Amino acid sequence: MASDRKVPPWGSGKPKEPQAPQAPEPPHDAAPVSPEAGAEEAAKPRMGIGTILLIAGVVFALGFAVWDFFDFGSTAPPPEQRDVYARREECEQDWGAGDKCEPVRDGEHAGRFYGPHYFPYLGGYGMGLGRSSLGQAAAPGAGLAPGGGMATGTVPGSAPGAGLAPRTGMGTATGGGSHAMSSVHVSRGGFGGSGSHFSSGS
Amino acid sequence: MRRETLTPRAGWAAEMEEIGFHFHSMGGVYWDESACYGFDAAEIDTLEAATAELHAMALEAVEHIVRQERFEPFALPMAHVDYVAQSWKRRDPSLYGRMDLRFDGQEPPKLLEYNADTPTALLEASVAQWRWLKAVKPGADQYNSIHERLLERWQALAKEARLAAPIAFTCSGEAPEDLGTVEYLADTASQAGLDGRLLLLEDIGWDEQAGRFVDLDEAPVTALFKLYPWEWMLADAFGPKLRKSSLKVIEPAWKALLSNKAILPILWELFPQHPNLLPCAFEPGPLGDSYVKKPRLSREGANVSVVLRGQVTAEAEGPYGAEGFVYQALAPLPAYDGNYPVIGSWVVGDVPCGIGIREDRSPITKNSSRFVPHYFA
Repeated sequence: MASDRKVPPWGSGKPKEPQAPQAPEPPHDAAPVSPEAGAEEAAKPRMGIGTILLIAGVVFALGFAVWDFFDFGSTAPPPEQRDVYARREECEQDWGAGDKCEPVRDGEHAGRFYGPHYFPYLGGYGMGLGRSSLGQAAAPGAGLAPGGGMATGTVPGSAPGAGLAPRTGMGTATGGGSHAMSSVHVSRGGFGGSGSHFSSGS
Repeated sequence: MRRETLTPRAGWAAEMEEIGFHFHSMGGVYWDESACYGFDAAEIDTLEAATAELHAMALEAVEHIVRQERFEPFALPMAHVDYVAQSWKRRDPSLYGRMDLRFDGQEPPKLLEYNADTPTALLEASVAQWRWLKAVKPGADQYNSIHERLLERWQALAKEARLAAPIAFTCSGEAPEDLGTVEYLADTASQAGLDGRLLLLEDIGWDEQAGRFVDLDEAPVTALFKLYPWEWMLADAFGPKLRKSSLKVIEPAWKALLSNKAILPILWELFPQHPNLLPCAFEPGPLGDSYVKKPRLSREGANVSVVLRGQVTAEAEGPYGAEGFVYQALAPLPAYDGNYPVIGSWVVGDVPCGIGIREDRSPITKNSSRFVPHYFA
C-alpha cells in the first residue's frame, strides 16, 4: 500500500476566472432596405438596389445554412485572420502605432510580429480596400459593417473603444501594399458549446 | 469497514487552500473531515483486486464493442464512430479513470459505473486526504499512491505517445472543481518533466490553412488533456476537425465507450454472474420491479432514479435522458448513521492505486455529495 511520500507544492493561485469565448458576428449581414427604396418599388415593377441586396443577403444566409446542414465544419465562427510581419515597424505601418502589434512568442512565427485579428473579405461593400479588426478585447456582438464590414479604416457602426482597430495602411490582406509576410486563419470557440452550462466532471 | 465521527481540525480550510484545493466548500460542505472511514488491510486488498479485475473486463468489453461494431447503444454521432473505433484499434494510451463501487466490507465490491473519461474528485483523493492522514492518523496507512502513479504514467505517456511538445490542459472553464482538477493534473505532468500549459477549451483555435489546432499564440496544439466529455467534444463545432488533425487527446476517444453507461449491460452480458457486477439491461423487464434507472450519458448522478417495487423512491434532477437509459439491479448502498458512501476506486494507466469516498444523505451520489477521508490499519 501507500508508503510515506513527499507532496510537492502546486496550484498556489486561485482558479482562473473563465474567459468569455470570442464570438464574433458573422460578417455577412444583409444590407438594410431604406423606406424610400420600398416606396419606389411600389411605383415601379422592377427590383431596386435595396431589394437586390436583400435577396443577395438571403441567398448568402441560405448558403451558410446549407453549408451548416451538411456539416462541413462551418458551424464554428468564421475564421479570423491575422497577418505576420517580419518587423514591428512594418506592422505599425499597416495598423498604426500602439498595442495592435504584438511579438510572437512561440511556434513557427516566433520572433516575428502579429497584427490584430480581423475577418477576411467575404463580399459586399468596401471591396477589400481595407479590413476591420476585431481585437481580443472586442465586446461580443460589437458588430461589423453591413455587407461585410470591410470599410477602409474605421468600421461603420462600431462604438469607440469597442475593440475594433482601424487600419491605417492601404494594402489588402496579403498583398497590394500590405507589409505583411503572410496570414494565419484561425477560428475559435468551436469547442465548449455542448457543455457550457454543465460540469464536465464525473 | 466502519465510519468514525471526528472533530474537524482548526485551520483545515487554509491547509486545503495551500495545496490548491480551493473548492473545498462548494455547495456548502464538500470536504468533510467531521467523519472518516476505516478499513482493515484485507478490505483494501479486496477493493484493489476487484478494481484490477473490473478494469481488465472493461477493456475486454471495449474490444468486443469495436469488433462487433455494437455502437448503436452508445448514442454517439454516427459520423464519429469510426474515429472512436480507430482510437481503440491504435490503442491510444489512457491516463486515468475512476470506478464507483458499492462496498460494505462484507459483500464483494459491485461496480456501479466507470467514470473513465472525465473523472474528478482527484486532488481530494490524491493529496487532500493524504495531508489529513498525516495530521490526524499519523500511525495509520491509506490506500493512496495516486500522485506517484500519475507522475509515472506521464513519464510513460511521454514515451508511449511521444508527447514531446507542450501538452495543453483544458476544461470548459465553468466549474471550480474542473479547473482545480485540470490545474492539478497539469502540475503532475510538469513534475514528471513534461511541459503542461493551461488553455481554456473555448480558446482553442483552428488554423484552417495549416489544418491544425492552435493556442492563443497561434502555436500548434499537438497534445491535449481535456476534462470535457467525448460525446460533447464530438458534437461541438470543431468535432469534425478532430479527424482532420493529428491532435493527440488524453483521455483517448475510446473512453467514450467505457464511460458510457451502455457499457454496463454489455459487461453483464459478457461476464454474467460475475461477483463484482450487478445485473444490468437496456430494458427494465429482466430486473423485475426494483432497479436503478440511469441515463447513458449522465454525470454526477443527474437524472438517476431508484425504483423500489414499482415506485420511484429517489430521483435526481438533470438534463440527461434523451439518449436512453440503462437499468441496473438495485443494490442499496450501505448506510452508516444515515450516510451512504460510494467508493471511488482510481486506476492510473492500468494500475489500481487508491480510493476516495463520496458520501450523501441520499442513496444517490451527486455532485454535491461530500468527500470523506479514509485510512486503513
